[in-house]
Amino acid sequence: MTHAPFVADTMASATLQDLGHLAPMAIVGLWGLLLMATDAFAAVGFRHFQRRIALFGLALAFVAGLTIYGNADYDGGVEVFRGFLVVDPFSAILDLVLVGLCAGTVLVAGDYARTHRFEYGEQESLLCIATFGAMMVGHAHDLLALFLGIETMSISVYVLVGARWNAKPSAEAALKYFLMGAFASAILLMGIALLYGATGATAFEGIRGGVAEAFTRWLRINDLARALDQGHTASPAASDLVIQGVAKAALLIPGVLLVLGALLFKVSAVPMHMWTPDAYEGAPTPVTAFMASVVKVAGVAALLRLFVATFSTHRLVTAPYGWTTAVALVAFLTMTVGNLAAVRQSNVKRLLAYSSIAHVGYLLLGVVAAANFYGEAFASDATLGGDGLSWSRDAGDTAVASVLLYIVVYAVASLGAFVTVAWLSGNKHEALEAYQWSGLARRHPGMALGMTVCLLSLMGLPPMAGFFGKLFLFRAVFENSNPWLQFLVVWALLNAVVGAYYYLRLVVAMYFHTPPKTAPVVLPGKGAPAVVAVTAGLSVALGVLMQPTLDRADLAARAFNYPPGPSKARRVDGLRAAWEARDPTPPVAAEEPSPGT
Amino acid sequence: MAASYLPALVFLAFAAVMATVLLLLTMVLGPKRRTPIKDEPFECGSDPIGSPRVKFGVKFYQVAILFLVFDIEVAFLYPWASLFRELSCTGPLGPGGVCTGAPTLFGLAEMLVFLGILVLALGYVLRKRALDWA
Amino acid sequence: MTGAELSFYLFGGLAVFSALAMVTRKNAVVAAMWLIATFLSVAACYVLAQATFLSAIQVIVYAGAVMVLFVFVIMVVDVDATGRLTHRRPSRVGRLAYYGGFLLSAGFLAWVLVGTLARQYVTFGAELEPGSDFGTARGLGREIFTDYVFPFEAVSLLLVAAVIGAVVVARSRKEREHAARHLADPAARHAAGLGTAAEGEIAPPGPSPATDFGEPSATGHRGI
Repeated sequence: MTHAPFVADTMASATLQDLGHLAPMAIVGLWGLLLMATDAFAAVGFRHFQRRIALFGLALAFVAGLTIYGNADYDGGVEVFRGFLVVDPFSAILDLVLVGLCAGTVLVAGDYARTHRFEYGEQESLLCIATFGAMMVGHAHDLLALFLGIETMSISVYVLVGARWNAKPSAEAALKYFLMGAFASAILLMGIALLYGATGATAFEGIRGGVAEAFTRWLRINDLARALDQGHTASPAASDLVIQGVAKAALLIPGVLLVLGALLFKVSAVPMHMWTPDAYEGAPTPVTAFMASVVKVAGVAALLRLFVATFSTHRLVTAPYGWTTAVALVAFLTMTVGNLAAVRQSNVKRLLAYSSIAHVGYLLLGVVAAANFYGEAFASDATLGGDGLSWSRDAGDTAVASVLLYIVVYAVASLGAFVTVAWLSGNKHEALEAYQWSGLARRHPGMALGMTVCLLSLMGLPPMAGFFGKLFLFRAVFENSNPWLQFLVVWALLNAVVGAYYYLRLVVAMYFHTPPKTAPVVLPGKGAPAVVAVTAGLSVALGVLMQPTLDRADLAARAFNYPPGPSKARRVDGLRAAWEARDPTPPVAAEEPSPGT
Repeated sequence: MAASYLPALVFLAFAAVMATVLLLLTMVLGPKRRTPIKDEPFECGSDPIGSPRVKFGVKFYQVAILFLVFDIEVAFLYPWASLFRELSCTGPLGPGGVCTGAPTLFGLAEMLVFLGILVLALGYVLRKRALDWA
Repeated sequence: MTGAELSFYLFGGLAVFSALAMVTRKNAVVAAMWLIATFLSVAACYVLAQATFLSAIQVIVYAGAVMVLFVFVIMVVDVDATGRLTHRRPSRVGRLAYYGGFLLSAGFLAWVLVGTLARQYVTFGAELEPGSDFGTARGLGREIFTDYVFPFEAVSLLLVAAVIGAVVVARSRKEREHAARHLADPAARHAAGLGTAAEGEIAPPGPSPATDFGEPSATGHRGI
């Protein structure tokens, strides 16, 4: 046996140290187990404290997240578990957001389940495990981490969706969501297999190198053709290199497309959105809130981590046939279909489901813009030199920051809106039709105000955070010189106007219609009002304090991305040097013309 | 390399031939005395009336899923067991698998955490009476 | 043609054939049997690729446990007495999607095949470098227990989620009603320090009526 020995005792300490870096995520996962144990082994009376135990653990994770969030040591990104995961400002923001969203769900889910008589003790545990998976996606630095995180999250959510045993739509929603989701996971895995086949790596760094290598070699086909035209003879080794580049690209492109399709399914972009309204409607409403916030954030994080940061290196995006073209088309369809379908809904849950689809459309525009900027930066560093490069890079960072900002603002407002829907229920009924909301402001002014603020934030009205989210996102996309993207921004603005119609319809019903004679039934407890108050407050506060928020998002974008900001320049330069060094022969026909050979 | 699997292939072929030959032999050599009772399909002593496709209790399914989960758990034990010596040694292994460094509990701890989590899950299953047939 | 090459074509062809047979069978039980054949042929292909441990796992987990699960699913599902899944002639859009999907995936497969073969990954009877423990339980363990410690432990959480899911989803109605009644019981609530339930806060026991998801809307959309 001629293996390099691995030294187990340094591994033990390294493992503990890495776990320390991942403290928020580790705490959430541990609490998932703890809640399962307390549910199974604690005395019946003690089980009523599940919610408090869960909230305590989430608070602990939040505090742990804050220490990482404020720590400048993580600015350049710290790789943990041998590059399997990474801790950087981007993941730190996501950790805090995801833990907060999970806590918001936990506050409502128990009350809702008890009132609707399907209470079960595992709910909090499943919510924690699902959040653990979502956080893993935020930290992902390896395709396997991405897959494992998405699966952990999805399996828990399938169960949560189907847990409402006394209402048939819940089981139907769970089945639809599960079958579609399992199919998407299989596609994701197939894509990962192809990417591994092409690049021999699952870590993002390795894939980035492999992509660059394949396309650089492939592009030498032009040199080869030119050389052959001029009557030169290509060396067999050189043409072999080109062929290998083509062959690798032939595996890469389907791999990229499969992974893209699966991730677009998870964020419910349009051709793969069919499950969304049904699953959102059938699920218990707090779980819907969870899906619209935590699961969406994880999906967008996956797109940013993998596509914007890894697949933006070269021709994959800069060429007109790059994946960004497909995503731009999907974004166009997503926002159009989402908004137009939402206009027709009278069921509040379905309305919010379609509106969440529409928001994904806006977000995808930002993803495309960011990838385009980074692609330009990669392509231009040789020709344009410093200025063009740093401009593209900065523009890309800004686009990533605005996507991050938008998804956070959207998730907060969306959680508030769905929690209000969950709150307005009880006694076997859910007030899901818009007319049942009429005059809510007169009976419950506080909750109506909270819902209104959340809806206005989703709509994008100026004082709210949602406005700034849209402003920065659209501005970042508009910076792109591509006229099609600029057209899409205009189109998105038109869509936002359509969105205003259906959000305002609900607001008008709450404030200007006469209330029904019987008072609406609402959830007992203070959980839902607290969540709505916090989310509405955040929707206003993030808008007022936009500059610090944006600075923070910008820092996150700068740290995690390619092409690197100053902090990571060294590493990626080393990477490029490595793959250039791997290339054994110089380009085609490097040898001088050798007529007569 | 592939040649080393030749015995496995021979074994498979032998099993297939054996099964076929024995079945054929009973068909050819066995006495055939038919009675109405012998012609009835046999089903655990109960009268075979009605469709065989009755709905099963969902408990079967639950047990199958749990079996699958713990089967996957066991699958992780094989590589761990075969690597255990190296995982519990801080240095490389010398000839005969003797540890040249100090012993460490890293390998054991790794697996104990993994198994502990799943044993907790097993306790949860038992406690929730998911394996009871009441 | 060497022995390795011959057995690759044998088992590869068998895998493709039985997979095709599986998806074209109308009887679910027969399809499951073909699926076993597919699993076993793929396991043989793994052996030929020198991934021996993977092959063993393929037999133990897939041909064993997963198949048991499939057969149970088929039995739990209420198919009509003929054992055939009900079949409806698809609409024009459905047919279009069917053929379009077929063409798309066939083209896709061809693309991937060309990509694979052009790189000439396939070398029959190729030996690994001597001393390599690729594909054995040892080699795999070296990866799992050193580089991939974290996913190895995280997988246990995934399995826990699956266990909870199995228990929650397949719980009998009696158990659920018992739990709900217990939790709604004023005495139990009082004992747990939650106070007594207000009137109208807790619905009476039993499944909720169909109005659970609101009245039919003006557009005639009844939800799911």
